[in-house]
Amino acid sequence: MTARIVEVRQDILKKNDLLARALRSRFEEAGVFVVSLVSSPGAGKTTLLQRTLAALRSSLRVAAVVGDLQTDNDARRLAEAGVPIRQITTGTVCHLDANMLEQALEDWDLRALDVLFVENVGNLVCPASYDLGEALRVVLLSVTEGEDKPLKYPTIFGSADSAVLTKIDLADVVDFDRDAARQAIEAVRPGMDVLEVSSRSGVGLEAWINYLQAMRTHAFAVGTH
Amino acid sequence: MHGGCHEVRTTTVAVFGAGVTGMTIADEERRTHPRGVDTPGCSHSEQDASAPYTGEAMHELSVALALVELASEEARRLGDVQISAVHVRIGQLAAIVPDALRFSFDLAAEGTALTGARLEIEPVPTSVACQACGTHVLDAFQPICCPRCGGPADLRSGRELELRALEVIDHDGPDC
Ligand SMILES: [Zn+2]
Repeated sequence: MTARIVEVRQDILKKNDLLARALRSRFEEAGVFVVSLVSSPGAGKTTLLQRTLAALRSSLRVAAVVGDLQTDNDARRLAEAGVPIRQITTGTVCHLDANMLEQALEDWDLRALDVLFVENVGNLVCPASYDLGEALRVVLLSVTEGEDKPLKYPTIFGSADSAVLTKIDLADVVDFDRDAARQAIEAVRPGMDVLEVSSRSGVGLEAWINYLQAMRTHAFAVGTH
Repeated sequence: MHGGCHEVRTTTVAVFGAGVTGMTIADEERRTHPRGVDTPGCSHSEQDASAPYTGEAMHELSVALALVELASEEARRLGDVQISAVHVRIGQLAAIVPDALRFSFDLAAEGTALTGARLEIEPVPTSVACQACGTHVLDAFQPICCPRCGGPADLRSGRELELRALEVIDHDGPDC
């Protein structure tokens, strides 16, 4: 009997990466711009998504997939926007993965959509390791969470393309230092776009909507060359 | 210049590079996952820091299931062998608690070709490459920029979730 070492050197989440890559090309072919939202629980993903769907639905065909541990509260709230909503119940799993998203999209005609939002489970850790094939990943940070959160969760910020500071209307109330937050984000993800939004007061919403539209236009301009 | 790096830098460079081989997993875990603070474990805990432990290892279990699947596939390709150990490299930024991964691995391996195999975890420190002054190892929670000159730097390591190798025992021909 002899023991020997056999080198493998493969990414443990290779399957997810391959599946995400396949999804990404499927999205590109269908012409649908896929935006995912990640944040801590309670950072305002669902509320921002509600406002975003309401703002976009007159000009674009929008829909959303929402990941949740158990309840369908988020999905129900979102359905009020009058656009197609699907829910992924993850049970005890603390993130969405490409396989769950693919299954949720089954029999959905992606060509009938312009923008598809994917709301991840509220969690700043696990989603960082799972590519979903999205074109744009946005990480939300609410002003109530503190300015230094990006330094504590550098991986999720590193995996995202843009950051949104939410509940910005409360910034003064909770003594939130915007510059410090922006510096913390810059430190873990140099050059990252940072927006400030209040879903409640509406401050920054227009800029956020314009930003999404610009990113969508950009994605397709790049994609067609 | 890239703002932020100088101003928010709070910790100093670790001697991680030199000491990494002598560092036990437990040391490593205490360094990277100081429990009870704002812990980057799987963050059901983040919802309410005072809440009881609620399956916080689920993230590690997801990773362990993927690991067992991948390692089993590799083992099958090797034919009639017994896997005595699975070697993985786990980056410091991958938010994996080694003990939770080991526990999850044992669960996930049960009933597969990997039943009873050891899980050997090699922690991979976070490192960045600075154009001006080379590659540096970073301390946990340190901004992703050059710890020496404060300039921008590219992440070189720290996010690894890699199946490095399998330790295999061959069933030698007819020895009876
Ligand atoms: Zn430097």
